[in-house]
Order: sequence, then C-alpha cells, then structure tokens
Amino acid sequence: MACEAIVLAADDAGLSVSDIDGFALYSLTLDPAILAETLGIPEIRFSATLTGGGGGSAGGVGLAATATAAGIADVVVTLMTLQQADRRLGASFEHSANHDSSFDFVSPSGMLAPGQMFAMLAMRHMHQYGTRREHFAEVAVAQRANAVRRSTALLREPLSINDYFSAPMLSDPLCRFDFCLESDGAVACITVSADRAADLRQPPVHVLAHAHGGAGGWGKAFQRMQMPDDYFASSGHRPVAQRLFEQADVEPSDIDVAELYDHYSPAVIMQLEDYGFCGIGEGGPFVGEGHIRWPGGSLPVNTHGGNLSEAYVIGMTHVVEAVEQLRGTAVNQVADASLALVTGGPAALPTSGLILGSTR
Amino acid sequence: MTTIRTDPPTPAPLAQLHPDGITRPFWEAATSHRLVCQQCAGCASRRLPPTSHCNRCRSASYEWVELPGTGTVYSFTVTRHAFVPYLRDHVPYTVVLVELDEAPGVRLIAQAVAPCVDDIRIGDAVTVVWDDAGDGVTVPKAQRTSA
Repeated sequence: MACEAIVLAADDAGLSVSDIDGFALYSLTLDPAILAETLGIPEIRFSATLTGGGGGSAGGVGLAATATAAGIADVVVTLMTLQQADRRLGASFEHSANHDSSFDFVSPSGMLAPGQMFAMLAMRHMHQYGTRREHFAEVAVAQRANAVRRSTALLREPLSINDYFSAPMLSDPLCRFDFCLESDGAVACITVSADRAADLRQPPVHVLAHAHGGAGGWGKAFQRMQMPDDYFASSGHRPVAQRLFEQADVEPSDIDVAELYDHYSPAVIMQLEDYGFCGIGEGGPFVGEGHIRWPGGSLPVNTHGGNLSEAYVIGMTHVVEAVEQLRGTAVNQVADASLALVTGGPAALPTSGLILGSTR
Repeated sequence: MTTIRTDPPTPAPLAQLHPDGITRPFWEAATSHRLVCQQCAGCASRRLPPTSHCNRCRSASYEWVELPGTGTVYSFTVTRHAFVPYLRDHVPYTVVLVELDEAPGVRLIAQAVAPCVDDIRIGDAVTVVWDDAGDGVTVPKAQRTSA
C-alpha cells in the first residue's frame, strides 16, 4: 500500500521512483530502509523522522522542505501508511510504549484511550468559554457535508444535527460523531526544490511556511494533563501558528482554506482560536455562525471531510486536500484558493503546520 | 486519610504498576494511604507525576512531602463506552482531573468513587481516597467532599 502510494505520487509529479533520494517522515510509519530496498531506490541522501504522533503530519512535509532547501536531497517523500488490523490506535494507549512508570499516573483511572483524554480538554473548554455540544456538532455536520460529495470518502451518508444528538456518548462531552474514523490507507507526498518543481508535470504548490514544536509545558499534553492553565484547553498550536504567519508574512484573514487536524471535533474549534481566526474561547460561536462551511463560509475547513468523515491516515489526507485546493482540482473547490493552512496535532509535542501557496 | 473499598473495585489490569527509582516512593506511600509529591530542594516547587529534574530551576535534588489529599475538580469525563473489553462491566465511570491543594498547578488523574456519574462538576471539592486493589497495589481515587 505504501509502495503503491509512492509510485502513484511520483507518476503524478512526472518523476521516476529512481529520482527519490529522501524520506521525511513522522511517527508510526514504515522504515525507509525497507522502502528503499523494496522500491529499488538508487541512493538515499536524507532519512529523518519527526518525533511525536499525528502532530507531525504537516511537519513531515516541513522536514522535506528543509532537506530540499538545504540541498541535502532533491526528491523527498513524506509518507503515512496505516493498517490497523493488529492494533487500533484509538482504542487504548496501554499496549504502547506509554505503559511505563509514567503511565502509572494515568491508567489506574481507567483513562486509556486518546478520546477519553481529549474529552478532558473539551470539558474544560466548555467550562471556561461556554462552548456547547451544538458547536462540536457543527464541526461534524459541516465536515460530513463535504465528505458526502467526495467519492473516496468513507462516510457519505448525510449527517443531521438530530443524528448527532442521537448518537451514543462515548466519553462525555464527546459522542461517536466527535471521534475520527479509524481506517487503513496510505498517502505519499513528494517535495522538491522550487526550481525543480517548475519543470515537473503538475503546477507546483509552494511551501511558504513550515513549523513544528510548541511550548515545552505542552509536553506529553493530554497523556499527562499537566499543561499550564493558560493553554490547557487549547490545541497547543499557538507558538507554531505565530511562527507560520511570520514566516509566510501573511495574516489569518489571508488564508483561503484550512485543513485542520481533526482526531476529535473540538480540536478544530481550539485550532481556529490558536491560529487567530477568532479570539481565544470564541471558537464555538465562530463555527456556530457557519464560518467553516463550504461553500459560503468565510474560512472553509476540512473541505475533504477530514479525519472525521473522509478517512483517517493520520493527517496526510489534509496535505492532499490542500494541494488539490491550490491546484484548483478539489472536489469541494474553494474559489480562487491561493493560500492554504494545513496542521498536524494537537497531540504530544511537536504539533506542526504548513502554509501552502499556489504562488511563491 | 479515608480508607475505602470502592464499589466497583479497580479492574485488575488497571492496577498493574511499573514503579521505577523515581516513582516508587509515591506508590509506597499510597499503600499506607498517604498522598505524597516531590518538593524541589532548589526552589521548593512541588511536582507530580515524579520527574528527575525540577522544570523551574533544573535541580535534581528533591524530597517527598505529604499533601493533605484534597483538591478541586479541574476537568472530568464520564466514560460510557468500554474502550477496552475488560472494562465492559465497569462502564459508566468518571475520570477526574484533580488540582491538588498545597501543590499549585499539580493535577492528579483518578477515577471517581461510585456513585458520582453525572454528579461531579468542575470546581467541586474532592478528597483523594485509596483503593487497595490487591497484590500490594493501592491506587488513588477521587471522592466528592461532602459539604
């Protein structure tokens, strides 16, 4: 599956797999040693993996951009492949490396699944800012409406507000439709230098800014729950957001479309705040006013349906959707989209983001 | 500190601990129903879960101090779905994030003592109680402090 994605991505770009000389990955994916051997790649010049979990998805592409800009490698692949037959990521952290002396301060409480952990942040957000379940519902409903139109989406049945409120609660305040899908899939993305991109088959999409990281106090985040009060009920993205906008020299209001990592629907609301599309604590009313809807919203979000409704490939489908939006070939195309934001996380450090543009 | 045998008991898989050199004193104190945390020898700040270094002054010296075992609900979740099969008969249950008194900013994650599903709110005063879960393991739980 991973090899197929790489072959298709190279073909799409007008490159040969033999041109690939780098891998810039993030956690839980395949070992480049096996990929290089299997695909017969002549020489690897760059092989690096961002630490963290889903928080690194956008950052993997940033890592690739670093390698190509520095001239370390020419054609760098960022990849996510996911087969969940053996172990479902959403079920429990207990079989992972987290089950150590540190996780002893978590697991006896019965809080084992990431969804339970994220529920704590969502509950605090509701308490601090008055965010309501109707706001979470709007994220789920708006994203499903986008997935319905997309033939590759896994969930294409329309979702109504009644459907949302009829769904079983899994861990308050989150119900089934606040949780992302768990699916198998592979996505490969190829990054080359801007000069090289100009000669390739597709109109290039430019990495205008990339950043990963976050405040040290964010740390393991909701796996430890010791984040400072200032940003406990947040996505942990604020430092990354600031660096992205500075690097690209643009404002939040310049962004045409945002593909925001959505393992849980409140994460979208928290990122809208942390990226400055609305004030801190105002994410609920912001989505309630219809801003993230496509078409018609001031900032269409997760136009592919996201992890909630399209597919869960740990954030890489968000990169694909942003590229399609900027090429002008998206299923749910935002008119004249020229700037897209893509994020990875919130999860443990690092969270990450990209600002992509149709022009340099 | 209050000693209770909670109902339902902590499921055995949740009472499997992996103490190491840094965390063992916490779990040893737990068996005698005492809530302790690290206090930095350099700046006197208190911390939990245990770590090797103080994240304020970077001192690696600390002592263990006993806390009153009371606190405030910072957040919580009522888990109604069994995310792992062995919790099927245990749901629903409430997990509480307790901001501990006399340890500013330090939070303890504990399951609430039944019956408090749907009855706990952020800001409630809670007391840490102890569940002797067998095999010499004692785990903290949170009980709403009666007014």
